[in-house]
Amino acid sequence: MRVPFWTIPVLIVVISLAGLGFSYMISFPSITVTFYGDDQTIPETKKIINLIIDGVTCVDTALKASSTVEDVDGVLKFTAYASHRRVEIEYDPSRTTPEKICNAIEGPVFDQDSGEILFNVFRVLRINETPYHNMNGVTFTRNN
Amino acid sequence: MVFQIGIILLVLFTGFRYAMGWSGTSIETYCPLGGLETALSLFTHQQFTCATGERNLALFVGLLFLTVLSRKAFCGWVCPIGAISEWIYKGTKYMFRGLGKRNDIYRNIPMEPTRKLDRRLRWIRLPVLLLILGFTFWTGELIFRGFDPYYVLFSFHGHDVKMWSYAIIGIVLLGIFIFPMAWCRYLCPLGVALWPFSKIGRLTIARSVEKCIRCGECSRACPHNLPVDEVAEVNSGECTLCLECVHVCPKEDILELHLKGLKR
Ligand code: SF4
Ligand code: SF4
Repeated sequence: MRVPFWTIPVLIVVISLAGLGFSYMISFPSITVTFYGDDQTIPETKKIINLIIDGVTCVDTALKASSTVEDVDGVLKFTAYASHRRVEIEYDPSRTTPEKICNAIEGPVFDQDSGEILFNVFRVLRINETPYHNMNGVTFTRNN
Repeated sequence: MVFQIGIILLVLFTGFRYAMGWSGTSIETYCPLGGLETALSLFTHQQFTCATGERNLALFVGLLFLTVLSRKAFCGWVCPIGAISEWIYKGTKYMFRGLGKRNDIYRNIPMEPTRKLDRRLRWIRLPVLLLILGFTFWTGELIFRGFDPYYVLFSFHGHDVKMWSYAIIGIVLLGIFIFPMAWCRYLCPLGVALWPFSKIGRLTIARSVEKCIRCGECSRACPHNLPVDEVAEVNSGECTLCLECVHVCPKEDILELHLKGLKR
């Protein structure tokens, strides 16, 4: 059957938009790191925060970001969705707070490859959909 | 052409915004090859590879649908490297046609291999694809970023782009200058991955054998060196539906776009 030539661009636009729409319906992590052993139980009061972190762009940088909260007492699980710069952190609210977690993420990072300590690698842009810093670097949710 | 320019401007805008730190969306997230690269890791580890994500995967799945419907229309209408290759091909043809009249040296540029050799050379893309998929899966990194013309040209000196990346892209562009569509035909990993789906594509260029005057203009204009004037339907998995053949055909209604499987 003969079809008009404009069928081609129309198909391209429709399928691309459908693909982009579909991408918002699926979600898989780039990495998941758990900070509790098999013998430990997760407290029922555990909480989750969603962070948008500037600097988390791939699996490698997500692993670096996870290492910043490794030693924060009470952080249970770190899941990164690198393509969205989004990180989901499960924590025990009786042992830590979102502020402590964000401070750790924005703190110095030890780079295993170079053996150097790096500063200003990560910056928390949003916490649970709320901007974390304003434009002047003054914090909305914590005291600097 | 307008469509291709629009896509290139969009890609440049996306790359520039990311490079300036105004947006977190890099041009990589729109690359369907990233979807293929990450599919294996997603299947085995339920995790994405490196900087790839849902968008890459969804666009790759969408691209497979598009290819089954309209062959390699992605290459001929969307891919910025396809567009640049096509413009270089047309430019060199135009330029050297003039020069060739004055000096024989230029007559054979761009150098079109025989169809048989061309078909064989296209298989080079398969080891390229397997190498990329294998190493990406093995290392968990997009380690071929620095070789990817799309990334090197549009990321505004993005992560992993080194000076040698520009040297390689320079050589590739020079290759396209001499051998028509060299990247798309002989090196592009996505091109070979799409080929089986394109081969069964439903939209096709159909030639009215009765009306055709066999001038051969269509075959000469085809960037993929397909024998349009020798077949009733272009069923090649390499046809990008770029419509060049239709534009140059001196008679109207000889070359048409047909949807296969449905009667006239
Ligand atoms: S056959 Fe026609 S539409 Fe297909 S690639 Fe060649 S010129 Fe383009
Ligand atoms: S350009 Fe048109 S008339 Fe000439 S050979 Fe091709 S289909 Fe036939």
